[in-house]
Amino acid sequence: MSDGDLRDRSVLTCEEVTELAGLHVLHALDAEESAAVRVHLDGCAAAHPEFEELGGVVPAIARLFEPVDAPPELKSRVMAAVAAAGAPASPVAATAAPPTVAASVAPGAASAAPSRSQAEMDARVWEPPARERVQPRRVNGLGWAMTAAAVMVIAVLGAWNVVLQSRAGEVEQRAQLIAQAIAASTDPEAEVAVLRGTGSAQGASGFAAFPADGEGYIVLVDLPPAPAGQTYQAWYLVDGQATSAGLMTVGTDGYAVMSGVDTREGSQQIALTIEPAGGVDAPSGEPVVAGELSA
Amino acid sequence: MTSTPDPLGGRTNGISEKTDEMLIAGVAAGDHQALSALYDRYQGLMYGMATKITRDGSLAQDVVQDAFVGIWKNAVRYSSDRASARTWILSITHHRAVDVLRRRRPTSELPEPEGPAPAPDQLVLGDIWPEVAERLDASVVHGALESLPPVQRQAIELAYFGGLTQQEIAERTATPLGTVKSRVRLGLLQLRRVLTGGLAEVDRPSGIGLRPSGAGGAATPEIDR
Repeated sequence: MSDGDLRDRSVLTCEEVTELAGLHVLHALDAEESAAVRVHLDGCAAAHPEFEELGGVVPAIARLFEPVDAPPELKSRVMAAVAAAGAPASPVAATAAPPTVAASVAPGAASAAPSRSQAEMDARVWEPPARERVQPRRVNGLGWAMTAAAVMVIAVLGAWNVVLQSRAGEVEQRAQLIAQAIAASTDPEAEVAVLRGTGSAQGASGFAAFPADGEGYIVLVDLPPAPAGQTYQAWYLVDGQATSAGLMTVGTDGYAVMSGVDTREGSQQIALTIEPAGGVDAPSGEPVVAGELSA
Repeated sequence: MTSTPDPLGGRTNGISEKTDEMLIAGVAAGDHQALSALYDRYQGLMYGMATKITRDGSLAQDVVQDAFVGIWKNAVRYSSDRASARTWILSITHHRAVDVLRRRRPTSELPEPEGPAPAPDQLVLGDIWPEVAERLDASVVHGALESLPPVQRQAIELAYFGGLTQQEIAERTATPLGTVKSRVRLGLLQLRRVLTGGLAEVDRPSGIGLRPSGAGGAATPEIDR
């Protein structure tokens, strides 16, 4: 920063702060100035009523903005970004008491994460519209173009990240695999499928990611255990023809992760069926989990 | 004392009947459906504001997205004592729009804040006429703005609609910084006087514009505290 000022700009007098009040309420101060104003107000014994006085005019001026409907696809993008942002500042505090200004929420409190069931509920409450087209866009300034499916994957994973953080010790290795799977899904060249359960696997969700070069992943959560003597088997589907992608074992906590999955050119769908232990050459029943691949 | 009209005759648990403030409380508790409902109510106002400030549809989408992430993260800090939901949401949106605009400008003297944007400043949010200032008819506000000395009006417009910093306003208008400060301050004070005077005349609800259709939601009743 320029050091042109002999005086430290971060220390303001009451008079200077009063002069800046109007610009402050209009958000016309740069970050440094605005921070200096806040620092002063936090430590100042004076009431500085001018901030309320002038700030109260702003909602009136805001009346002059004309509403314009956002493109419809923005909603799924926003919901995905919010899901990826993890839990709100402190859900625990928020449910325990009405939100107040001085909740003094420590940022670290977020790691005292909601219980798994809370996170699961969060993941389920919002059902991403799987068929909705999403324009490739940046998310949070990241440079890569996102496929619609990748956006959905991020949405699903936002809630999972909370789970993963709170269970890191227990599931470290699997968390690592899932992290790799997430990385694979964000490769702009990757083919990605959002997977959803039906029938006996109702409530399961997850994704498959096949990066352009490298091994693919299939990740599922909330998958019920396969019936005794049976197993989940994953399939690539090309024009209705199924090729086995391998068997999947469900952990006691409902997670199932498969890495090192071969990429099959031209696959349109990924599906799971329940088969006799050891697997079969061709699926014998209806898929209980399925998702369409999109490049 | 909630006086919300109840079109569905007694069903009060539907999300569409929740006040904005109730939805924000839901968001604070991590409820994605509450956020979805807020999105439906506010996307038009937020996108309209963001488009006007950034003059770029793609940037405006980034703004709306950033704003909702901010709402999500900060909902727990929202207090209806300090500001209406609408004022709070639009303040966050305005902040984000201005941030996006400044990050994009090549001017190197504009510092780029690292990390997440700071929580919206509660101090800027104090409505003096809660429930009223934000529902003034746009034409009334426009008239009040028109009544200002042109230099004051220009300074306020460059700041609020143009997203310029005080330095940029000073450069753009070839005016000393101190003059910019006093123009904005005096202009806002004058606006307040004019609008307060106007309020006395339009004391009846019929004189107060309701929220535009783009907001989509019901009026925001005050919440008992």
